[in-house]
Amino acid sequence: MSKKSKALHGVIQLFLILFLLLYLSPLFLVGINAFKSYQEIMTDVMSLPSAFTCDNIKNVFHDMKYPATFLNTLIATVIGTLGIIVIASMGGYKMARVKTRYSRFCFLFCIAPMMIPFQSFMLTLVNVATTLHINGKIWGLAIIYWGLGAPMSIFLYQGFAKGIPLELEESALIDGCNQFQLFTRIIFPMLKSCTATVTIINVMWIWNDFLLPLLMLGGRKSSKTLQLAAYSFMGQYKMEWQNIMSAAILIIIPALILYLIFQKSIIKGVVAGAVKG
Amino acid sequence: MHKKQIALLMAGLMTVSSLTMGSVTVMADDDPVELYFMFNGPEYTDAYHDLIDHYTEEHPNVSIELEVLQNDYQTVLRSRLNSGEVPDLFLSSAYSDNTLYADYIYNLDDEEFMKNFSETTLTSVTEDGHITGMPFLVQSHGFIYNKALFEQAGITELPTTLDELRTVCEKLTDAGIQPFSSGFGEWWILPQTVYPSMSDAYDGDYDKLFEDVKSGDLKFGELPQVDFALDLLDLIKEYSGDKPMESTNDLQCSDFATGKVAMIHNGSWDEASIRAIAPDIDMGYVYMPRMDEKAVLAVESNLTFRVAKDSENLDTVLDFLNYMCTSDYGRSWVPSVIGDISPLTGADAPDTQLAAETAAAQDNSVTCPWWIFKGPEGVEEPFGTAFQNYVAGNADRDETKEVLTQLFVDAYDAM
Amino acid sequence: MQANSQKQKARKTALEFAGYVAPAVFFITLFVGIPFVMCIYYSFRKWNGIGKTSEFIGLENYIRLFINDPAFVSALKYTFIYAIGTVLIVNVLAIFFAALLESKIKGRGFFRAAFYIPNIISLVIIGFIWKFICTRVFEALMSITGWGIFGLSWLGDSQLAVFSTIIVSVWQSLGFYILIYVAGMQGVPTELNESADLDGAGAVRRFFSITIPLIMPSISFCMFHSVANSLKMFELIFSLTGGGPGTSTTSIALDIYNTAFNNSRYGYGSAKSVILFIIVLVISVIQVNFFKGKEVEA
Repeated sequence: MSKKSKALHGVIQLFLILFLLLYLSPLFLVGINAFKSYQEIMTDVMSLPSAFTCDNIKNVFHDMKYPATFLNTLIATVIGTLGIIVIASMGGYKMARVKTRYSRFCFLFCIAPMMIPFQSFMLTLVNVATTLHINGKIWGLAIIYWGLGAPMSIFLYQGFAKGIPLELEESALIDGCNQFQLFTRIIFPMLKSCTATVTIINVMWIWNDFLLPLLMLGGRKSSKTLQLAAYSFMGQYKMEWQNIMSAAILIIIPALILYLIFQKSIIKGVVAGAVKG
Repeated sequence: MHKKQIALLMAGLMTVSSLTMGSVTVMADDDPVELYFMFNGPEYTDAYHDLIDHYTEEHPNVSIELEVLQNDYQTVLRSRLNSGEVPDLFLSSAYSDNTLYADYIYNLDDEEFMKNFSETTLTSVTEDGHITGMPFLVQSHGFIYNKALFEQAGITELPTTLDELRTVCEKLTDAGIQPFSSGFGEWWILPQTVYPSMSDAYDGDYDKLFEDVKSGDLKFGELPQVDFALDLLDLIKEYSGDKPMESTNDLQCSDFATGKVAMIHNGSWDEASIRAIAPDIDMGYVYMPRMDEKAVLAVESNLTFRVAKDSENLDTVLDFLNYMCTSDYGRSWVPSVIGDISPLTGADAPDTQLAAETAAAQDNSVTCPWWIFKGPEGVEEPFGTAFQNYVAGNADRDETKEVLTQLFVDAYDAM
Repeated sequence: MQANSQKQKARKTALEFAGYVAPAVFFITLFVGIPFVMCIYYSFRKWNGIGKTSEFIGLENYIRLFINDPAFVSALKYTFIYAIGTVLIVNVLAIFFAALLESKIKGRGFFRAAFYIPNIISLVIIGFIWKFICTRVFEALMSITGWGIFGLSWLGDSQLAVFSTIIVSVWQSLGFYILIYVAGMQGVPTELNESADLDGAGAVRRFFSITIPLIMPSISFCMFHSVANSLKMFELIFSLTGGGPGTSTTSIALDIYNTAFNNSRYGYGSAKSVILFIIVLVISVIQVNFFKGKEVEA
């Protein structure tokens, strides 16, 4: 490597480090202010907390009913994502394989909802959920995600499945596999890297979703998700920043831990989805 | 096996539902009753829970699920009503909301406990001779001012006209004190800031005013009071520092409590937030100036408890309201726990400073009702946004007037 | 005989197809299709979203929308400015950083991962975090540094607020797009670059004449993704600016929300959503066709 390009790399390296520090500084500020009292936030935002206290976090943890809320969010995310994977992988795969007019039409029908803004049908969606008696229930919320999340996932699976060779299926069928075996044993494993993408996209979306749980949950048996519980600190007459920051921390941390653990596959998954789709 | 389980489950369900059905007819004495309330006003969350705890302690068979929301209250309430998950008791505004929720609310005409309210108090919830809800509390809003800072700036007399208000602002500025924190960052503060100053429109005959707006005889934007209101906003903006459009209610409270500003336009509900930062601050109300040079304070019991008419536990809900009106704790709940004026006849006076000032204004009859709510429903947000666009410089005076006219036309059209 | 078995085979294929596709079609129909059709139904009616009755008014909602609704026009305007701004800035920045990350610096994986962090946080929370930064933190920074940039009213000035919403949304999504572009650039064969280097092409020239054409698939995906997202923008604005000051940052989705829920005009709000759907649809179709002609096989 030449001297000049070494120096250039040094500059780039330094620039990236500085830029990254600046880029993530808002999160750092959230971190330090979560441990301050209201008065201290009002008077001294930038400094480290004068007396490090976990009181805010503890209070917010308690008020959010964190363990139960966390579990609710987890249930919605897991059931929602699993269902999406099942229906979208089946649908996306078949729509890639069958090249008839009907198939094309089905595909367009399935992906068109990606263009529909959620705000436009959210109230009528509540009516549908009511008719089905699934509102106010965590699993009901999760099932609704199947319908809302399927379009994007079908789009990804269809794009991915186009690139899988046909021969494997044919030989499996000749070996006497039925359709169920064919899909679970042969096809689904081949869709693995797309499944990773679909999982990541949907987990992050459902975990962070706000409006749908707001409309569907609550009510008589109030079960909330983390986003809803955190949002209740962001009222109209009162901005209790110390609580808002603590709530933000309590929501970000599980996501962050998950991200750090699965970072490599997450990044791979996101990329795979984008490139194939 | 499976069938058996399902049959058992069905039987169980039927027993449960017959039990709950039973509690409607039998007075809810021992059967477990579950109620679901939905309120706005998160600043009262602790007070709500305190009330519920007291009630359920005396009625151990009752359990109450409470949902408190603010920004999305309208949306969520709507989705609950549409989904049939109607809260047994919910809060709304008075006046136009009386008809908005008419399909869902139980009229309290025949309830004994409603006799605890005077007829004048009940006007805001009365529609076609029916009492559509129970007033919650009397709130007031105006310019909350810091007495010490006024003194420091050598202001001895409170302003009552726009010119005097300007002079006060100049004096404060000279003394190095920022006069206002505007609150313009939140749309709901703007209607509150302007309508008291417009309350001399039609000499206070708001029913006639809205009749004329509805029939098209009056273009709302052409009321002379609109010009006056815009002048007032100009003044507030001029004296609200560098970032008037970023001032939100929490900022108003902290700016005021820390002594950074001398005045904020807001209401009695802010006293607790202010005292959370500055417990001993000495504050009072400057009345809102009007064209007719009679300054007023906006006072009203606007928040209203609404009972769901299809509630399965109607008797229990009514008993709850009865508890609020007749028990010792219930009667003292608004004045001593919330710290605002109770609309109940003969209730204690709260010991908060702004409530005391409100009572004084009522005694001197220098108040105006929250008359904007007498208009069509759904105007509050566009009304606030229209003025917000004006102060943000997105619309000039003439455009603002046109928008104001149009939004009332639209609102009546949508009814 | 032959025809018969072919028919049978066709039926079998059709059944299989139905078996695979039915669950997806069923749930999409149930939770998007039916609600959206109901939304179209209400767009021809007058309904406040609360009462138990609504009234058929034909095309009145649509007519009003086009001739007499400055709020919708201003929402449309903002949404387009926001979309253009976000799409341009985020894509240019992401390509820039992806190119830097492709140079031989240390800790490339770390940087990629770190830039992605804001992406895992919900937009509602992001909005509140930045509201805090723009008000509280900037005020403190102003008094510490005295720099005029912190004294500006980032959320209160009409033009600046538009800019702020763009910046925050770029901040949130940049990491995602960097990932995609890095992956795209990894697919560019190094020999191409090396031979161009030997031919005396400078780094910048190489970048524009080799890298950019070859990462067109990534560009088209990112454009598609960012355009569709910005046109539907709601949650971030909801918590960051609330659409203000005034209506300066009210997007179409937020305007729909306000119309339907705060102004009690659900039917009218529905008409607006139908129009938004059509806008997003048309733009997406144009985009897909545009990029189809531009992609180069590597």
